[in-house]
Amino acid sequence: MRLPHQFLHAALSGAALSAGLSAQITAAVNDARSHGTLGDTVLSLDEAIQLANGSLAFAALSSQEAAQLSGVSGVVETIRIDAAVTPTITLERLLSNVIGQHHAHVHVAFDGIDGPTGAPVIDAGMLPIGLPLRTNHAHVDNLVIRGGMVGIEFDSTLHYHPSEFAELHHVHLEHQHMVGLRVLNPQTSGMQAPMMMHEVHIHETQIGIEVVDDSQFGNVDVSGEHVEIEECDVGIKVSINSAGGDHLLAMHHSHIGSVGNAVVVERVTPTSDSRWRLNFLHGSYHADGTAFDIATSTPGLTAVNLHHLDVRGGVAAGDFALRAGTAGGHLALTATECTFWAPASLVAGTSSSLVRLHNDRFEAGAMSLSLTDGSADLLWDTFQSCPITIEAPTTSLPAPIAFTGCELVRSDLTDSSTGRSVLNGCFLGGSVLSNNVQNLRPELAPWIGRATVTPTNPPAGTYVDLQVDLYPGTAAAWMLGSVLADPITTAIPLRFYFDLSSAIALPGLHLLYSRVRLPIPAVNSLRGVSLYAQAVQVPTQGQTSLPPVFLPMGTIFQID
Amino acid sequence: MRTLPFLLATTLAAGAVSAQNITASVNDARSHGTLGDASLSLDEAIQLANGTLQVGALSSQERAQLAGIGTLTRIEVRAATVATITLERELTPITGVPGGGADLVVAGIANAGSWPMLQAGSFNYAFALRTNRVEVRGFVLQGARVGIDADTTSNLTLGIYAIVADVSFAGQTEAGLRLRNPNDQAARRLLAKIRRCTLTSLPIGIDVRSDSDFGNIDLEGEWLEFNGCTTCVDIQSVGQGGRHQWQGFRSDMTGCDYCIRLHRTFGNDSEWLLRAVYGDYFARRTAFELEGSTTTGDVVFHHHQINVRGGLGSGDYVLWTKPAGARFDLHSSENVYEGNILIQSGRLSPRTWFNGVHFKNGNIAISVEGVRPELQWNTFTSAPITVLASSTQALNFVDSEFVRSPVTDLTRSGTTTISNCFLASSSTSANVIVQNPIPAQWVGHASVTPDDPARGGYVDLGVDLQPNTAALWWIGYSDPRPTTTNYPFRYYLNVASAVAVPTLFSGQATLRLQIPNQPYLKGVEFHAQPVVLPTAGQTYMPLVSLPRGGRFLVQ
Repeated sequence: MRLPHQFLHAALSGAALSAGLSAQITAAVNDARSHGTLGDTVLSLDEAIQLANGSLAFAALSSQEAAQLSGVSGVVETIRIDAAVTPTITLERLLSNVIGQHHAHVHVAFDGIDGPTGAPVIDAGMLPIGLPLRTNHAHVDNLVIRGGMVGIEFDSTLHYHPSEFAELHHVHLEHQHMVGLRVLNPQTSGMQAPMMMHEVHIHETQIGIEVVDDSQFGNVDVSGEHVEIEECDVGIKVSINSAGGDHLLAMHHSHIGSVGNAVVVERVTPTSDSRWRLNFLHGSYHADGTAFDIATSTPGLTAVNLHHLDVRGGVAAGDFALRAGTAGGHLALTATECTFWAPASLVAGTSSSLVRLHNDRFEAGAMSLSLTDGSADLLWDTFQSCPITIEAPTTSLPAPIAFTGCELVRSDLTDSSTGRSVLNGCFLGGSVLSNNVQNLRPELAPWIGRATVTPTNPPAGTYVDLQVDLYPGTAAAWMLGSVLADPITTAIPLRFYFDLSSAIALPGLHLLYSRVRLPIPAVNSLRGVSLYAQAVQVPTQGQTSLPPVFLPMGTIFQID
Repeated sequence: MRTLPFLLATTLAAGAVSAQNITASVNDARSHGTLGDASLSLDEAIQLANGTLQVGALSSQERAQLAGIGTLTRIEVRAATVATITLERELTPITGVPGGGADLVVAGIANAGSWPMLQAGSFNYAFALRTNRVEVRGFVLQGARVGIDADTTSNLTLGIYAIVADVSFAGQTEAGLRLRNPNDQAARRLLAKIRRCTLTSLPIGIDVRSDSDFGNIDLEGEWLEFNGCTTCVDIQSVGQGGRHQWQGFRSDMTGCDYCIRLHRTFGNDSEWLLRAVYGDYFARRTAFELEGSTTTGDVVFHHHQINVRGGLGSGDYVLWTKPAGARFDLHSSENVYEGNILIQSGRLSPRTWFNGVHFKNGNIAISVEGVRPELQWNTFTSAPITVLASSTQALNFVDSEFVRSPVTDLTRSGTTTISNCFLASSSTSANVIVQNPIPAQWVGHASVTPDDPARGGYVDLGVDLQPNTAALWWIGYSDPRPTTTNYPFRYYLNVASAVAVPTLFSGQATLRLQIPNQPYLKGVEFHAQPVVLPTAGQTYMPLVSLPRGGRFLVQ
C-alpha cells in the first residue's frame, strides 16, 4: 500500500511529537457493550472515550478496568479495540462525544486490531450517531461502523486544534440509515472542519459523505484518498450555507459507483459568498442519475477541478455526467484528461468565470454551454455523438468560446447566440456547424490518439499490456514513471501525472493500433508500487497543424 | 564389418523410400543464381519441384542440397543460411508436383525468431502459385506488386486447399495476396487457407478476383493481422454465377480505410458467403461495404463476436449494404458496432437478423423489403435509428434497449414496433408503436482480458451488470467453428467440456482466474461465457441471457 504524502507527513509529525513527550496511555477495550458498567470487570468503549476526554478519572475505574490501561503516564491517547476480544461492540446508547483534552496536544486515536473476522465492528443499530467526533484531534483506524442514522459525525465544536486534521484510515461505514460520514461546520464565526480520509469505504446508505457548511468565515477542508462509495442515493453531498471563508473538498484516487448521484453541491443560500474549491483527481464517478451536479452562487467562487476522471451519468432525460453552474453564478471549471459519458451542461455568468476543458472526451451525450460572462476555451477535446449547443445567453460573452484542435464526430455544433463560438484547427466528422460558427483552418483528418493499459493491477512476475490506437501520420512512444501525488494540473498544454525526473522511456515507436507487452519482474519490492504509463504522441509527417507533442490520457497501474 | 541380412535391409530401404520424399535446401542468396554452380537457388528448387528441371542438370554441390529419395515435395529456406533472397527476376511460378500427386511445401525456417526474407523489389510478384497443392510457410515477403499471386490455372486438385501460413507481407505496391479465378475458362476454382499472416500498410491486403463464370473461390483466413492497409480484403466479383466464400476467423483488421469490400460488375449475380468470427475490424472509412445482386445471388454475411468501428465521416459506415433492392442474408450476433450503419435489404432478401449486438455512436438507417427482420436483445446507445421510406417489411425491435437513440420511421404508414424494450432519452416518431415498455435495463456486458495469457499467469473475467441481475461464469474449450446460427443462444465454447465457476457476481466485478503453469496448456484456447440471471423475479428480462464473453488462448 502506498501512503499519500499528506499521511506520511501526519505520521511523521505524530511520531516526532510522541518522541518529545512521555509515553501516553493506551486503553484496551474489552467490553462488548458500548457503555457497560463503571467499576465492573471490563473496560467499555464509552469509558475509554470519557477517560480520553478527561471527564472520567482513572481512580473511578475498578482494578480490572484499570488493568486495561497501559503506558507510563499522561492521557489516554489510544483506544484499542481488538476484534479477537470484542469483534462487535453494540451501542446501548449514544457514545460520549469524542473531544480529547485541549491541553494534551495528542490525537485521540481509535485503533482497531483485526480479529478472525476482520476489523472490529461498532454496531450503532438505530441510534442517531455511531461515532461522534467533536474534535479535529482524533484519528480512527481500522474500524467498521455499521448502522446508525449517521456512521461518523464530525465537527470541531468542542475541541479545535490548529493545523491538525481529523483522520479516518481504513474505515468502513455501512448500512447507515441516512449518512455514512457527516462533516459539520456550524454557524459559528471562524469554525473549522479539517478532515483527511484514506482507504475509507462507504456503502449502502442514503448519503455517503455529507458536508454541511453553515460557518461564518470558517473553513472546511475535507480531503480523501482511495475512498470508495457505493450503493448510495448520493455519493457526496455538500450543502453550502456559509458566509465568507475558503473551503476545500478534495478527492484523489477515489471511486463512486452504483449511486443515484455521485457528487452534489448545493448553494442553500444564493447569496452565499464563501469560496469553495472542489478538486477531483484520478478516479471514476458513475451515477445512475447525475455524476457531478454543482450549483454556484454569484458572490462566491465555486472552483471545480476535474482531472483524469472517468465520469458517467445516467441514461434518462435530465441525467448528466456533469452539470455545473447556475445562471449568473461564479464558476471556475477546469477539466482535463477526463472522459464524460452522458450530457454536460455548463452555466456561468460573472466576469471572472472560467470554463477550461482540455484533452477531454465527451461521448454519447450532449453539451450545453451558457455563459453570459467570463471566458471559455476548449483544447484538444473529442466529442463523439455529443452535439454541442451554445445557448442564447452566451450572446453577451465578451470573447467567443474557442474550440482549438478539437474533434467533433457526429457532434453538430449549434450556436444559438450571436455567433459566440469559433473553431480553430478542428476536425469535423459527420458534424454540421450552424451558420454563425466561425470555422478557421479546419483540420482535414483526425489525429487525437488513445491509449489503454490493462490490467491496472498486474501481479509482479506477470505483465501489463500497453496499447495505442493512433491515426495515420502519428506515432507514439511509451513513458513510465512513478505516480505524482500532486501533479501540476494547471499546466498548459501538457500535464504530467508522473514524476518526469524518474521516468523512463520504453524503446519502440508505435503506429496505428499496436500493443506492447511489458513484463514486470517478479521482485517483491515492486509489490504495491503504482506506476503511470503515458503514451507520447508525435506527428510523423511534419504536420505543422498538429502539436509537436501530445499526451493521450494515460493510466495508473499498481503492481500486486 | 557386419552386414545386415538381406530381408532386413530391403525392408528398411522400402520404409525409407515410402517415408521420405526429397527436400531441397536452398543455400543461394540470389533467387536464380547459376545452374551448375556451387549453391542451390530458390528458383532452381522450384523448377525441380515443377519437374521442369532435372536433377541431373545440377552440379554435385547443388545436388548435395537435396536430401531423400523420390519426389521433391519440400523446399526449405533456412534463415540461418540465407537470411534474405533477393529476386534477380521473377521466380518461376509454382505449378506443383507433376501430376498433382502430392503437396509441395515451400518452407522458411526461422533463425532466432526471424523468417527468411524474399526481397522482391518491383517485380510482379514474389511467389506465383498456379496450383492448390502447395503450401508456402514462414517468409517475410518484401516488395513486388503482389506478394503472392495465386490461381489454379496449371493444376487443380479438388478437395485440397493451398495454404499460406506464417508469412509477413509488406511493401507490396498492389496487394499482399492476390487470389484469383481467371476468365480464360469457366468454372475455375481456387481453394486456399491463410493462417497467421501479417499484412501491413498495403493498398490491398488480400485481393480476391473472381473472373471465371460459374467458378468457385473458397478462402479461409485465421489469425490474420491486417494493419494500416487501405483495404484489407477486397473482393471483385466479375464472373457470372457460382458460389464463393471468404471466411475470416480470429483476425484483426485495424488502421485500415476499409476492412472488407465486395464489389460487383453491373449485373453480376454470383453468390457470396462472407464470414467474420472473433476479431477487431476498425476502419477509418467503412468496415464492411457489401455490394449485393439484385437478381439471383445472395450475399450471406455471418458476423459474430467482433468489434467493428466505422470512420468518422457522414459517408463512413460500420456496415453498408448496397444497392437498394439487392439480396442480403445478414446474420449478426454478439457484436459491438461503433459508427454509422446503412442496411438496404431488397425484396428477395432471406434474412436480416441482429441478435445481442451493441450499436453505439452512429446513425442507423435501415430499409428492409425482404423477409421480416429479427431484431432482439440489442442495445442502442447514441445510435439514432431511421427506418427509410423505402422499407416495406414490418420491423419489430424486441427485448432491446434504446439510450439516447430516437427511432424515426419515414415510411408512410409506419412499419416499426418496439416491443418489450427499455427506452431512455429516446423519442419515437408518431408512427412507431411502442408496446409494453420495460422499466429498467437488463443487458449485461462482460470482458475477458488478456486474450493471450501466459501459463502461470491469469485472465481477468469482468462483468458489468445492471441492478437486479447476477452472473456466473462458464468456461470451456473454445469452439474453433461455433455454430452461430443457433437461436436464441449461441455457444462459443464446447458445452460438453464446460465447467461453471461456482460464484455469483453482481454489479461491476472481476474474477482473476489463475492459469496453471502446465506445459500441456500451451496453445489451448478457452472461452469464458457469462450467464446472466434475474435476481428480483423480474419477468421483463429473459430467464437466462448470455452476454458476449471472450476467448483466451494460453501461451
